[in-house]
Amino acid sequence: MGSQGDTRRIHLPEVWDDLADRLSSPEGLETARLLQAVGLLASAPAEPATAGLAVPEKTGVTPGGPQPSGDERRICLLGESVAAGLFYAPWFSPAKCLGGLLSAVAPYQVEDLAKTGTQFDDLLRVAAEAIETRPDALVVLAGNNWVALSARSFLYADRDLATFQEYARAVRQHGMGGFLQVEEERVRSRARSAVDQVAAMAGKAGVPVIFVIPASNLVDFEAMHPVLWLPGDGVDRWYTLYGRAMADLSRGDAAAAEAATREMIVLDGGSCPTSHRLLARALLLAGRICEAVEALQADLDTSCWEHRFGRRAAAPLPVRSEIEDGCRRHGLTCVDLSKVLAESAGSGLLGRRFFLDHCHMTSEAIQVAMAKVAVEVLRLGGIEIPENGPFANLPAPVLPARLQALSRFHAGLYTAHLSRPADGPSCFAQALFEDALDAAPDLPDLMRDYLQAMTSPGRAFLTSACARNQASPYPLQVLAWLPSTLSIETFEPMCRALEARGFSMRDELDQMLIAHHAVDRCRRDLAAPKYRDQEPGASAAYVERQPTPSHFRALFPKSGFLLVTEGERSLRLDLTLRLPDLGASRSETVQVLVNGAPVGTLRLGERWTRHTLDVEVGRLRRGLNQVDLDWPLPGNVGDAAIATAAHRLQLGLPADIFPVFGEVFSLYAGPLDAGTLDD
Amino acid sequence: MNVIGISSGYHESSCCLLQDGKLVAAAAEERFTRLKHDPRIPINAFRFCLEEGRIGITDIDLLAYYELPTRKLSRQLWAGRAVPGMPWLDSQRAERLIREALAYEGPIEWFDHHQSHAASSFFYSGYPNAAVLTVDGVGEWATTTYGCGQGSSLEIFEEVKFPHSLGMLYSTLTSYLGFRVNGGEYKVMGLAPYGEPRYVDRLRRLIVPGPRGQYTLALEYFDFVRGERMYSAALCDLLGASARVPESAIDPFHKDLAKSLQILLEEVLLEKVVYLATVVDSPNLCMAGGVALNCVANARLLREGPFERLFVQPAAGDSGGCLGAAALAQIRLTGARHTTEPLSHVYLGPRYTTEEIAQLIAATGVQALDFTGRLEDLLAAAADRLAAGRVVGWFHGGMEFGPRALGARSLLADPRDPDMRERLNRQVKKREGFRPFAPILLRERVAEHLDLDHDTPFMLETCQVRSPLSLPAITHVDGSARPQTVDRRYSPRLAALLEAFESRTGCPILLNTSFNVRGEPIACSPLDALICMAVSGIDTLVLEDFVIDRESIPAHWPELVGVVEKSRAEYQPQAAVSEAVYTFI
Repeated sequence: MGSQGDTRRIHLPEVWDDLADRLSSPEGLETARLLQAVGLLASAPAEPATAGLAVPEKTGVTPGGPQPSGDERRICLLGESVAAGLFYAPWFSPAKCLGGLLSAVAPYQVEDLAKTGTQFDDLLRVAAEAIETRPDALVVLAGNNWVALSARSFLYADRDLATFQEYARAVRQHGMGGFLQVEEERVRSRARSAVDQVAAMAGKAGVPVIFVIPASNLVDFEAMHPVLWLPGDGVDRWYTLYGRAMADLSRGDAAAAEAATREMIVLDGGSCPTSHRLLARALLLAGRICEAVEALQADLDTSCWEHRFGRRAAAPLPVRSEIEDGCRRHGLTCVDLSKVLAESAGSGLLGRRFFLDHCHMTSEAIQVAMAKVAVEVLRLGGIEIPENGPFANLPAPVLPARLQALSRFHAGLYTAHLSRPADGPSCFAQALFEDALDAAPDLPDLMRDYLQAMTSPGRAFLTSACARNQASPYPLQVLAWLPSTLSIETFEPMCRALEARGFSMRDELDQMLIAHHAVDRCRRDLAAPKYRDQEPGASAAYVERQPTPSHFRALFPKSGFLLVTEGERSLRLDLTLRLPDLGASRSETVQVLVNGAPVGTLRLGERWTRHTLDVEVGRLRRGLNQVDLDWPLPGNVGDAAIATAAHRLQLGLPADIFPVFGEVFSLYAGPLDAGTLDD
Repeated sequence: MNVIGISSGYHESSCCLLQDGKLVAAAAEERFTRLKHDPRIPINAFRFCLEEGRIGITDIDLLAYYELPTRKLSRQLWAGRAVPGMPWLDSQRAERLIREALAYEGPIEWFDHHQSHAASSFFYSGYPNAAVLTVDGVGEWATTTYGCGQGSSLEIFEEVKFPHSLGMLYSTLTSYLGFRVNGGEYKVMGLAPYGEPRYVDRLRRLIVPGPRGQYTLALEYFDFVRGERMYSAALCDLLGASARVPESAIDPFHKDLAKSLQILLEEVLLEKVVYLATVVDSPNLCMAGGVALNCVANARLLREGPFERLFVQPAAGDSGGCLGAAALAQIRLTGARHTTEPLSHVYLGPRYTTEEIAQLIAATGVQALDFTGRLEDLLAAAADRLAAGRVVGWFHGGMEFGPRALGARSLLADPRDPDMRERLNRQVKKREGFRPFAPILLRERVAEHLDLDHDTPFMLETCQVRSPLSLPAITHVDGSARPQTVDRRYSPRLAALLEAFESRTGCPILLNTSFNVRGEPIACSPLDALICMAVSGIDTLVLEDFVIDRESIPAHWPELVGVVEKSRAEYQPQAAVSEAVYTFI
C-alpha cells in the first residue's frame, strides 16, 4: 500500500468501499484471514516477545548484592509464590529456611529474590540480574506459573491470528484435544527456552544453577472440570457416565466406579481432569494407591491448562520434563520436589501434610525441600553431606501460633475460592480453617470480621469489620484485594469448621446476609456474579480480573444461584433464559429447583424467553437458599460444535471449547408484589 | 417503545435508552468499569439502561449503533495498517459483540458516525430547524460534515474526508505538546490562555481552505495515517523545536503554541460556520463531535459567527453518538423525531437511594452526619464547610452523561480563595497546576458576574468574568471562565446550596470541578466517591443526605486503597489504543 503522502487513493473511495463491502460478509472475513495468513494483508500484531533478555528492567536485585563478609558465600534464590513462601512470608520462607540450614554447616547467606506471580519474563530478568552479581549459586524454584501464563492468554483471547489458526488446524485434526496439544507444545518450547537461557547466562558467568521442580497437592485439592466438546453425542454420554460414577462412588462400589471412569477417559481421550480424579477416587476406594497416584498425577497434568476451573498454578508433565531434560543437557543440578517429598513421606500420595493449598508448601515441606537443596548447594561448594548428616530427621520448624493460624486461614480462603470438588463444599478448606482455629483459639473473632466484611455492601476493605481487623493481632491484607463479591464459597467451609470446634456463627451469618442481600423487600438479580454458586469465571476472588461477564453461560449441566431471604413469605422468580444456539432448532425443558426440590419446568428455545415462577414460603428457609437450573444435555451436536469452534478460531475469534448448556440473562428474585420487570 | 443507542469500539463506549420517545437513561461504560475512556462494548451501561427503564432484553424494539462498520473498514483498508491490540479487517465485530457480549437478539439499525453526531445535537436541541456542523477526528471517512435539520429530517449535504481532519490537526498538536491524545485536548485548551499567538502563521501552513467548507491538511506535517506517532519530522522543523516530552516542564513556547492552535481552530471553525450560513437558512446552529467540546471556540462562534443560537450536545464526543443513533432509530420506527423539547439536563446515569447509602455508610463505620428529611440543615452544613474553605465532594441524584460534572458528581469549593486553584490541582485532583476550574451560579445571577446573556447549563462555552467579586479560583489568566448556569427546575438542591453559600459569604458562585482524580473516571457510585475521598484531599463528602468529614476517614483507608489500585492496575485490560498513536481504528 502507498505511503503517507500517497493521496491518490483518496480520489478512489468507491474502490475501498467496494472492497470493504466484499470483506464485510462472513465469507469476506474468511478471505481476509486467508490473505493475512499468507502475508498479503497486514496481520494483527504478533504476540509480544517473551523471554527477551535485551535490557533487563530493574527488579530490586542490588548490584553486587549484599556483600557477604569474609568467606561467606552468597546464594540467590528466585522463583514464584512457592519459592516466596506464600502464606508464611515474610516471617518464614524457603530462602530463610535454606539460609538457616546452610549457616549451620558453613558461612552462607541466601538472598531472597522470589516473588509471587513471577512469570517467564520476570523470572528471566531476575535471573539475569542475579547472575550479574556473581553469586556462588543460583537456585531457581519455578515452573508453576508457566502454564498459567499460557492458558490465561488464551482466555483473554489476545493471541495473534497465526496462533488462533494453529488452534483451528489442531482442532480440525484432533478434536478439542488438539487445542491442548498446541498449548502443550507452546509451553514445552517456552520452558525449554527458559532453562536454556538461564543455563547460557549462568554458564557464561560461571555461576552454578540448581533448578527445583515444584510439587503439587495431588490429594486434597479438587478442581471439577467440564469435558471439552466431544464428537457426536459424546458429551451426553460422558455426563451420563459421570452421573453413574458419582453414584457408584457414593455407594462405595469401587469396581463399578472404575469401569465408568475408564469409559469416561476413553471418551474424552484423557483430556478431562475430572475423569482422572474420579478414577483416582475409585482406585483409592479399592486401596490401589500406586495406580491412584498415577491417576491423580494425570488429573494435575490436565487440570492447569484452563484458567477458569481452579488450579491456577502447577507444573504439569511438559514443564517437569523440560526442566529435567534441560538440566541434563546443560549439566545443571535438578531437584524434583515430588520425589523429595514422596521419599520423605514414604508415599507418592502428596497431600495436606505438605501443602497449605494446591501447591504452596507447609513449613514442614519447605524444610524437607530446602534440606535437599542445601545438600546440593553444599555439594557445589565442595562440602559433601552424608545421608544421615545434620539435615536428616530434622524436627518440623516451630512457627508462632499466630503465623500458623493466619497461614492456614489465608490458605483456607484461597482453597475455598479455587477448589471445586465434584460433590459439595471444599472439605480441604474446612480442614484448613479447623487447623487455623486449633492454632489460635481467638480466631473466631477474625472469622466474624471476615464474614461481616464480605457480606457488607461496598468493598470489604472499607468496612468497620476491616477496621476492627486491622487493629487486631490478625490483620488481613487479603481484605484489601478481595472484590465486591460475597465470596460465598468460603462461608460453608468456615461455618462447618467453626461448628467442628464448638462455635456456631450460622445465625449471625444469616443475619448479616439478610441485612444486605435479602430479596424479601427488593428484587435482586441472582445471575449477578456474586450470587452464582461456585461458577467458574465468577469464582470469587478473581472475578474482577476477568473480562466482565455479560450474562451467565452455564458450563455445567446444573447451575446454582444463591438466594437470601428472611424465609417468611413466598417469593417470585423472574427468569430470562435461553438454550445455546447449536445450529439446529430445538425446544427443550429446564427444571428449576429451590433447595433441591423442583418448583417448575420451563420450556426454552434458542431465543430469550421470560418466565415467572412463584416459590411458596414452605420451600424457603431463613438465610441462604439455593436456586438450581437443571439444563438439558446438548444431544448429538458434537461434530457441528467442534466445526463451529474450528471455524471461529480460523477467523481469529475466541470459541466455545466447552459445551454451554444454557444461558441466563437475568434471574430476579423478589417479593410477589414486586411484579415482573415492566410492571 | 424501547430504543437502545450504542456507541462503542473506539473510546468512551456508551449506551442510552429512549423509552416512548423519552431519554430515560444514558451512561458511559468507563464509569462502571473504572477504566478511563473504556472503549469496550458497554455491557454495564447497557444493563444499567435496562434496569433504569425497568425492561428486560426481550423488551427492546430496536438497537441503534452509531457507526457503519463496513464504511469504516473501507477507510481502514485505505490506510492499510493494523494497530496493535485492535481487531483488524473485522467489520462484523460490532455486530458480533452486540449479539454475543450484550446477548441482544433483536433488530439492529446502523447509522453513519457523523450522522449520529449530527442527530445527537439537532434532535436534542429543541430547535425546529438548524444548520448542523460536526467536527471530530474521523468517523468512517468523514471528519467534518455540514447538514441541515428540519423537523424530523436531517440532511448532511457536504463532508470533508479523512485524512483531512480538523480533529486530527488538534490532536496532532496535542501529541506534539506532550499530552495524551484523546483526553489531553482539554489541557491544550486550558494552556492556551497562558500564551501568545506567535505561531499562528506557521500553523496556518498545516491546513489549506477549499470551496464549500472543504479543507485539506498539508500531510507532510502529519504521520497519523501510517506512522508510529501523530506528527512528522517536518512539523518539528516547521516549529523549530522537537516535541515536548510528556510530564516535562512546560515552557513559554508550549504555551504560545497552544494559544496559536486555539486561534487557528477558531479561525477555521468560524470560516466553516460562515459557509454553513450561506447554505442553511436558520438562526440556529447545532454542533457535535469532539471538537465541539472546545468551549473557547464555541463562545467565539456564537459571538462572531452568523448564527443567533448555538446548541452543543453535552456529550459531544463519541460517547454521545449513541444519543444520535437512538434518535435516528426512533424516526425510522415512528417517522417522527422523539421530542421537540430541548435537552434540559443530563442527569441520566445511576442514582442511589438514601437507604442504599445509609447501608454503605453503616457498613464502613465511618462517622457521618445524617440529614435525612432535613434538607435545610444539610445545605447549611455544606455551605458552612464551603465558606470555611473546605473542598466538598457533592454527590446527588443521577450521574451526568458526558464529560462534564454538572453538580451531580462534583467537587465544589469557594472561588474567592486565591490559593484554591493550586490546592485543588495539587492536593485533590493531582494534576497539572495550570488547569482552570469552572464557576457555577444560578442562571438569574449571571448578568451580575459574567459577560454572558444566555444559559449555559452544560458548561460548553467560555465568557469573560465581570464580577464585583474577586474570583481567582475560577478566573482564567485571560479573565475568562467556563461557567455552568444552574436552573432550579432541574437542580433544585444545587440551587439551594448556591443560595446558602451566598447567604454566608455574599458570593453566589461556587467553583465546580469533576469528582475524580487524575486518570480516573468521574465517580459513579457512593463507593467510588468514598474511595476517591480516601486518596484525594477532599475535605468533606456530601453523599445525598449524609455529610462525611475527612477527619472521620479511617487512617488505614488510603493504604488499603493503594493496595487495591495496584492490584486493579495489574489486571486492567491494556488500553485498546496506543497513547502515542491516534489511528482512528
